[in-house]
Amino acid sequence: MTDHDRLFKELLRTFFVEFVELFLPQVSAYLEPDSLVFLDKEIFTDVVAGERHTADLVVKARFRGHQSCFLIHTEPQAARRQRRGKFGERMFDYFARLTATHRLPVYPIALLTYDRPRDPEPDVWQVKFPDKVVLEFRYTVIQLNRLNWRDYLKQDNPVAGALMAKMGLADDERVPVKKECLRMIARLRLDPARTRLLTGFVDTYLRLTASEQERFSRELKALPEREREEVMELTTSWKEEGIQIGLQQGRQEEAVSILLRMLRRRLGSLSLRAEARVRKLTVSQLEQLGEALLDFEKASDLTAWLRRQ
Amino acid sequence: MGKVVELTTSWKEEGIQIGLQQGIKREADLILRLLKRRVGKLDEAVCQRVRALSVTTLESLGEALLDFTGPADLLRWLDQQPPRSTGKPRPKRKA
Repeated sequence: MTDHDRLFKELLRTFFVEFVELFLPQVSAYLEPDSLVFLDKEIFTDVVAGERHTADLVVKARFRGHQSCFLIHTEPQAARRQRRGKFGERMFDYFARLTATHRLPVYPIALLTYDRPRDPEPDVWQVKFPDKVVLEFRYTVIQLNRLNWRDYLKQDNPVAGALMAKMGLADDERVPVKKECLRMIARLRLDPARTRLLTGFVDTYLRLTASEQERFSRELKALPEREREEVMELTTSWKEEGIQIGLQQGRQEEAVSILLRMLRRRLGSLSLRAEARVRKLTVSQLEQLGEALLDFEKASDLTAWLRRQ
Repeated sequence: MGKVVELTTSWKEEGIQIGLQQGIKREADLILRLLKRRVGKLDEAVCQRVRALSVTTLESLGEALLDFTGPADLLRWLDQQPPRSTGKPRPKRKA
């Protein structure tokens, strides 16, 4: 099970400037990109409910050309659990606490990443009386399932390359969007670690079925050769990592089944406990056991050997 | 980039399946090691014949070699094996 909030948070931490450029160009006009500092988890205890809340991502930045700073609080939300209005109240809660702690202006952003429901989440929370609105708290809402991936296709921004995968897709758009995400990621030519973060993100949210996978391969074949190779290369490091894991696992499993047969034959029978211990041995331990068992004569020889491991 | 979230992508899973099959085939090495220990040095042609065995035949050879006392036992055993059937791949294992 993927920890969705953590995955989004890692994406934002890695590409925060690009995230602001993509969704809040007006903010990036006054944000000094070299001044960003990620504040460690801001943990607040909700006095009333007794719950501990973590404000997800808090970045301190300087206004461009000035000495003064401000905070950007980004709250990824992977499910709409809250009663309507509750979420705005929570955003305000963070806002108030961050203001009290840091005495800096706070720019609040809600990044809503769930697929459903698709009706718009409010971007304002009010405290009002019959005669007066005491507070009208506004925060920025980025609701991915209401965005159209086609609007982001030409952006060549790593955050776009990842988040298009979560933009309220129709079933028949899943294959073309996965292809476009990977094409964009290939065009960006980032270092391997960043590339893997993006491709891992896209694959996590656009896991294709077998028939979609066929269509995907067909569509890849239609790309110019050079580009097709670049897209294929994105998947290579994942595949190689898998091969290494599989290789170890396959060798271990096969050595276990060979040795269990040999042990049963040699010793007549094998206790469940001994069998369970053999199954847990590493490949090199299994190789040693293979040689040792040629000299085994009774069950206690195996027990003694296992005890020495 | 901080702590990396552990991800298993479809590409990684595909690699794991390929690796599993390769890993299983590698176990001819284990059997060869035990054979050398049991019957002494093997010439290259015999090694080749062992490597060409299917996985299930290798497992049987593991049992059989417990009773071998010399290279002749191995050769006799190899000669008794039916020619390897072609085509049918082993079913995929779950990762």
